[in-house]
Amino acid sequence: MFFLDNNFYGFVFKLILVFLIIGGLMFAGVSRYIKNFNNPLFLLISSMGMSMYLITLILYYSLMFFCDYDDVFYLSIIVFFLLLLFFWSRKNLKDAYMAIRPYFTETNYVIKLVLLLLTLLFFVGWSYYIYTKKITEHDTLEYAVQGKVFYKDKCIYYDTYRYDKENFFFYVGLHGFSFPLIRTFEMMTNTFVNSGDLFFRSINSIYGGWILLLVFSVFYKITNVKYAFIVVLLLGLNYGFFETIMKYHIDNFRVFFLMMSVVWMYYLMQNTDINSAGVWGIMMGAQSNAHSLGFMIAFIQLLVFFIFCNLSIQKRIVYSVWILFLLFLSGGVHYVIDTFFGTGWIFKDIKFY
Amino acid sequence: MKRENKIFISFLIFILLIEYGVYYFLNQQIQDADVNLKAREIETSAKLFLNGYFGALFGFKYSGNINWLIVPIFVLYIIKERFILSRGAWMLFVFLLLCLLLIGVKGFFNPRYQYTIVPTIICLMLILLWDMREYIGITRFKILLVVLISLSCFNIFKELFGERVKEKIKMLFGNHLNRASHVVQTTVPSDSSSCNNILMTNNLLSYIESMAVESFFLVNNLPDFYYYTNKKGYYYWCGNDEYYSEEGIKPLFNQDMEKVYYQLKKMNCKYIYTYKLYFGYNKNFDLFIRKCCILIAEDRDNRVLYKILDNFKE
Repeated sequence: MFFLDNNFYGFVFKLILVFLIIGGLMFAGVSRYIKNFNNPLFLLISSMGMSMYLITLILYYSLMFFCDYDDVFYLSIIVFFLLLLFFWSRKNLKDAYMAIRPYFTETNYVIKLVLLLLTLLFFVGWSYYIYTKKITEHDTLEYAVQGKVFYKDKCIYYDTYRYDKENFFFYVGLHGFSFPLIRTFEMMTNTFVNSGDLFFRSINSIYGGWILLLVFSVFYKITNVKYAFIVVLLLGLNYGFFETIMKYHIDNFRVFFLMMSVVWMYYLMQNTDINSAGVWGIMMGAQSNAHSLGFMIAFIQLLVFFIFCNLSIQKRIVYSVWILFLLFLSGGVHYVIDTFFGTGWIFKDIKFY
Repeated sequence: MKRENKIFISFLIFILLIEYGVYYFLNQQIQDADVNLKAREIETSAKLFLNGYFGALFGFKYSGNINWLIVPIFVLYIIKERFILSRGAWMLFVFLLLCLLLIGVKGFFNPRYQYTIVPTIICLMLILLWDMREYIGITRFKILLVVLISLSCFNIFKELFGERVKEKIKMLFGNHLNRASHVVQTTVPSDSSSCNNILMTNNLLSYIESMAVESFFLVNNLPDFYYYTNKKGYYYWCGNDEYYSEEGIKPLFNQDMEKVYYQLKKMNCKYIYTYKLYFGYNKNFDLFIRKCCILIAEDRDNRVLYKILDNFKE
C-alpha cells in the first residue's frame, strides 16, 4: 500500500515544499509588487502554479550554462534563488497571510469540516491512483525519458537531432523543456528525499486542480460563490477536462498557464501599469516554455492587447517590448535557440502518430 | 404563452437538434478508412469538420458537448449590447477567434491541441451568460444552467460507458507494468512455419530488462522501453516508416526485404519490440515481421517481442 512506501512520503514532502512553501513565498512577493489587483485568492493560486515553473526555469538556465556538475550544485542554485525570493517577499508575509485569511475564517465551521473531510478523502483516493498507475502514455514517456537524459547528461544543449548516443533514444518533441525538467528535478532531489517518479506523475492532476481553483477564484470575485461552484462543476463535467485530469500528461500544466495569462491580459486592459505588464510577460513565458502552442498563442495575445489597449502608440510599443523581453527571458528563448541552433523548430512539420 | 418563453423553448429545441445532429455525424463509420484518420476520428468529411477543424466546439467525444453554445450565446450578447462592446470584450472575442483559427489549422488532427482552449471557452460562455441573466430572465437563466449540466452529464456518462473508455479502464487496471516479470512458458504456434515456445509474461519490459543480450532492439514507437529498461534500442515508427538515427530520420522498411534484413544485421539489431495494435500501419513492416522474425514473448498489455531470424529466408 502507498502509505507503507517511503517514496510516498518523499512525494508529499515535495508537494508541500514546491507548491505550499515556495508558492506561498511567491504569493507574498507578487502581492507586494502588484498592489492594485484585488483578488488575493487568484494571486495565491497563480503563485502556487508558477512555483514549479520557476524551478524548471532555473534548472533550464543552469543546465544550459553549467554542464557536468553534480546534483548538489544545481540544487544549490535553486536554493540560492529561493533565498533571494525569501528576502524579496519576507516583509510582506504577514500582509499576504492577512489578505488570504478571510477566505478561510469567514467560512461556516460545518462547511469547513465537510470540505476538509472531502479533501482528505480525495487525497487518499488520488494518492492510491498516482501510486498504482504507472506512466504508460506515449508522449508523457517521451517527456520523462528526455528528463532522464537531462539528468544523466547534466547538460542542455541544442543540436539538429536530439539523439542520445548511450541508448539511441531520439526525442521527437519540439516544445520547451519545462515539463521534462520536472522529471529531472525529481531525479536530482531523489538523492536526498526519494519519491520515485510519483511527483512527475502527479503534475497533470495537480494542475487540473489549480485550473479549477483558478476558475473558482475568478468567478467568486465577479459573480458569487454559488455560481462559482456551478462553473467549476461544469468545467469538471466537461469530458475533455475529465479525461485529461486522469492522465499523466502535459495538458493541464500548459493550459493552467494559458488561462492565468488570459485572465491577466484582461486585467491589464483595465489596469495598465508596467509592473502588471511585466508579470504578464513572465506568465506568457511560462505558457510558451510549456508548449509550442502556448508560444504561438502568446503572440496572438500580444497582438490583440496591442490593438485594443487604451494607450498611445509609443506606450504600446514600450509595453510590448517590455512584455516580449520578459516572455523570452522566462522561457520563450527556447524557440529562438531551437530554430537557429537546434532542430529548426518552426520549420518542422508537426508529426502525428 | 409569452413571446420570450416561445423563443426560449425554440432555443432549447434548437440545442437538442444540434446535439442530436452532431452525435449522429460523429457516430458515422466508413469501411476501409485510413488507420491513422480512424484513430483520430476524422475519417469522414463531417468528422473532419466536427472533430477536426471545429473540434474545440463540436468535438463532443473529446472536448465536451456544450462548448459550441458560446456561439449563439455570444450572438445574443452582441444583440443585447447593440453591438457596442467594451474594448476588453472585443479583445477577448478576437483573441478567441484567432485561437480557434490557429488550432483549427495547426491542431485539427489532435484533440489534445483542441483542448487547449476548451476551459477558456467554457469560462467565457458562462461569464456572458451571467452578464445576461437579467436580460434572459432569472428563471430561464436557471433552466439554461440545468440544461448545460444535464447535457454535460449525458456526455460524460455516454463516454464513460462507451467502448473507448472501457478499453482505457481495462488498460489502466490491467496494466501490469508494476508487476515483476513472471514468465510462464507455453507452447503456442507462432506465425512462422516452425512452432516455437512463446513466453507469456506479466511484464514484457521487465523481461527485456532481464535479458542478457549485447545486441540491440528496434523499438517501434514505444518510449516505455527507454524509461523502464536500460537496454539500447533504435527508435522507429512503422506508420511513417521513420527510423530515427543519429544522422536524422530515414526510411527503413520500404525497400527490398533482404536489404532491410542485412541492414538490421549490420546495426547489430536482433530484436523488434512493438505493439500488437501497430500492425496494419505498414505492410512492409508487417511482412518483414511475418517472414523474418519469430515471436518470442508478449504480455497482456499487447506488447510483443520478436527475434530476427539468424538467416534470411526468401
